[in-house]
Amino acid sequence: MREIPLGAIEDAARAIYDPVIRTPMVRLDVPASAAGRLDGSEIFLKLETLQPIGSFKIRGAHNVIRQLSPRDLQDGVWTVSAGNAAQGVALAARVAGAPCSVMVMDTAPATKVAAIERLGATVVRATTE
Amino acid sequence: MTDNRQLTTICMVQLPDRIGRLEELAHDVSWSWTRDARKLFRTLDYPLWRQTAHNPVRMLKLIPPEPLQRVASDAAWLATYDRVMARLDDVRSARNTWCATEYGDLASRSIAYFSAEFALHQSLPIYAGGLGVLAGDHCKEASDLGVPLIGVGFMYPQGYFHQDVTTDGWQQEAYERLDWTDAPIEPALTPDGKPCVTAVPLGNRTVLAAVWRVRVGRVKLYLLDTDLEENAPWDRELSARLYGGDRETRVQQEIILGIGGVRVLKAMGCEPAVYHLNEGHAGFVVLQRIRDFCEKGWTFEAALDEVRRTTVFTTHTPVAAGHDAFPFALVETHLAGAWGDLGGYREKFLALGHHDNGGGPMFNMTALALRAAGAVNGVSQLHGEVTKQMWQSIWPGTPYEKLPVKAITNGVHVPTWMSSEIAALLETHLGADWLDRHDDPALCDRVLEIPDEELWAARQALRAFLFSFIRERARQRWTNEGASAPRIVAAGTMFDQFALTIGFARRMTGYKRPELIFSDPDRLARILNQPGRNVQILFAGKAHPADDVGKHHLQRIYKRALDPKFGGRIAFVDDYDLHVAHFLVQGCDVWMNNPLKPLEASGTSGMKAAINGTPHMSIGDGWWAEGFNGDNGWLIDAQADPNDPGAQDWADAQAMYTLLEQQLVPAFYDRDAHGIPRRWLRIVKQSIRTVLPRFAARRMVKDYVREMYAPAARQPATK
Repeated sequence: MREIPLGAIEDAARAIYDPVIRTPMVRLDVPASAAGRLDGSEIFLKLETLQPIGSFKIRGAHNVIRQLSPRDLQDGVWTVSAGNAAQGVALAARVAGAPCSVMVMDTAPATKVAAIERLGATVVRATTE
Repeated sequence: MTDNRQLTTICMVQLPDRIGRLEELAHDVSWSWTRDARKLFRTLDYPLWRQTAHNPVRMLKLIPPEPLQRVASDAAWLATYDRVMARLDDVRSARNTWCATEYGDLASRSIAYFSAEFALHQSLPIYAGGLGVLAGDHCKEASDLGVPLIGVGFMYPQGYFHQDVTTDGWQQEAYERLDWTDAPIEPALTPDGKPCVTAVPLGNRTVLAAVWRVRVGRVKLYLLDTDLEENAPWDRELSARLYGGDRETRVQQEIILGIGGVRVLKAMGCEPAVYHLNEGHAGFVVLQRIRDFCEKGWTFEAALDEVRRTTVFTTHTPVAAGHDAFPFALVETHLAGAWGDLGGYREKFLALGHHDNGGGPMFNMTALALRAAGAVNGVSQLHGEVTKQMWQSIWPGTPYEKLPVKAITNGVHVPTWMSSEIAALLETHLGADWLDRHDDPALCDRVLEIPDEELWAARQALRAFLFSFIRERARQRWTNEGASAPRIVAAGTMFDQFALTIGFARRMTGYKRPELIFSDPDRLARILNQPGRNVQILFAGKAHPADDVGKHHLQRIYKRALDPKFGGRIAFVDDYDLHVAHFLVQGCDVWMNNPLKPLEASGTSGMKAAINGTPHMSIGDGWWAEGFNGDNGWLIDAQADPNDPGAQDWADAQAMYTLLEQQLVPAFYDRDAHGIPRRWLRIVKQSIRTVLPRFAARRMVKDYVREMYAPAARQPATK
């Protein structure tokens, strides 16, 4: 397993907050009927659904793309996914001004593919056959 | 001329010559219901389009030169541009319209349409709610049909309020001064090319009103504005806010609208064949018109007959307290300078407004309009009857069945409210010309031919748009406005975009019973939280600033949204306006409406939802009493002692729970092998098929022309 140095995490934390946002953390108020099972511990939710694409995937995608050289950016970026990761890469690429292609399987839901296209990425359809 | 009116010309963007008419397009509200025109602005600069909440006037003010140059050399964009501009010219020429063909004699004249509010677009915030949206839809459809309508209303510099909700759930009103250069308005010019300014006698002084013009395709709107340097500070404030003031402000506003409005039309060279008063606010139109005839030497009686022949009146409220009534002394004070040659007939005029609602005689604006209009209508079949019962005393000696009250049920402007997703399906399966014939029930029967898979994909997409809109607003509140975490949760950020979603968006006020669904919180919680079959409810709506009861309803709903009992499946979306309304009526799965019958005259939000495939679950009040046919939605029909409001509330709530448990939830979640809810989609199709033709503004405006405008215009003039 590749080790991630603490410095890289701190560096990312300093650099990603735009377009990434700091999302709220809320304490989950558990109904009395279920509270007994928690044994005194608390549950907190980190509302990453509030990120621009609706998930935390924008964090990693933006952190990678922001570190690319202008030359690499010019060549564009690509990914294989039909979900939140693709939307994260597409948005981060748009912010960086880089072209983006996303390979999606032909079984991907149409709404997800449309969301990727709305973010400006080129969709390349692939089949498993 | 005030400073801010000069700015309108200063801020014009420098457009490349090839697309030089883009500014003109942005200043004609008809862009908002023309698909290609919307596409032009959207593709010009998409982030800016969203950032300005789809306001092309503001967008052209902020836009950098690059995107303008880019589209000016983009062949595909330019082709759309040329098509849109050609269409705009065609619209304005008003040839070959329905009205020109069917009512040629009317097409060459004009109909003045007075309303205290008009909701045309969120960039022109001069509306509070349903009445304004109806007026806006009426104008848009009149443009589509070629009906020569001229709207008269107010330009409120501070508009209606923006709704802010504290962490505790209490509504705060924030009035924001409109930047004139962001709105699609221009100074109205008289026939000799001068800015129109009209003098209105108010009490023992004269107030000046400037006039703005709004273009709505073929239709024009003239909006009065007292914020002129020449006026005293308190008079400048008169038109500042919609429904913002006390009774004294209100009566003065209504004098300016009625008396000033007639004078503006004269100054603009208009001679309307018919005057349509939308609600009683503009009743003083009658005073100025009778006075004008008297000054030509007519007797009061002859003048009143002629005014009656040419006046039609639409009343909108079955709630007695909802009709404006003023003490006679107050009216006399503010009308002091308005009489002219009518002075000798003052008592006769004041008698036209005389009405005792139980609290002693008052000058009642609805009574005035009822006595001075030759044709009167309620806004649904049921409301027509209620109106007769409420106002029978206005026509003493006239038997009930001969009372001059008709019913013209409200309708909604289809191109404004129909989502692109559903419109695309109709285009494919009903034909490319479906919009031209959408009030034809036989054509709409073909909605049943739309394949389930396509319809379901559209419905899923619309729900997804709604949730991404809600999250985006919550994100803005969180990052830009520092909203608290509870507010973010209460705004619906935890909602599941695949779960059955119920919408309830309307003014927060007692008779609409916003909290009815919470009557039995435990039973509701079981419905919402059933594993795999979750239900979620989105609330939105403003309370009138003076309505503390309404604000308490809102606050309690807000607290329910944070109550763990409901698992985060209740939400309140703040600052409801036309923009929010579009997402809600299109993206929810069910539209819930539970007023205390018969207090909802019509209701129109349910129609907007129904034509988008969001079926209505409603009390059989207003339009639903005639709209429900057994398989196009759900009727909340509970029997209880009508004299015990508590019993009726409880029975109605129980009926709603039973509908949810036994019909809605099973129909929505029973899926076939492909994940398609076939039973649900049968109801969705019936909803679109039945509501689209009958509750379209097209049917409504045609009814107004046939039953109100044409008969008035064709009656011989009084001698």
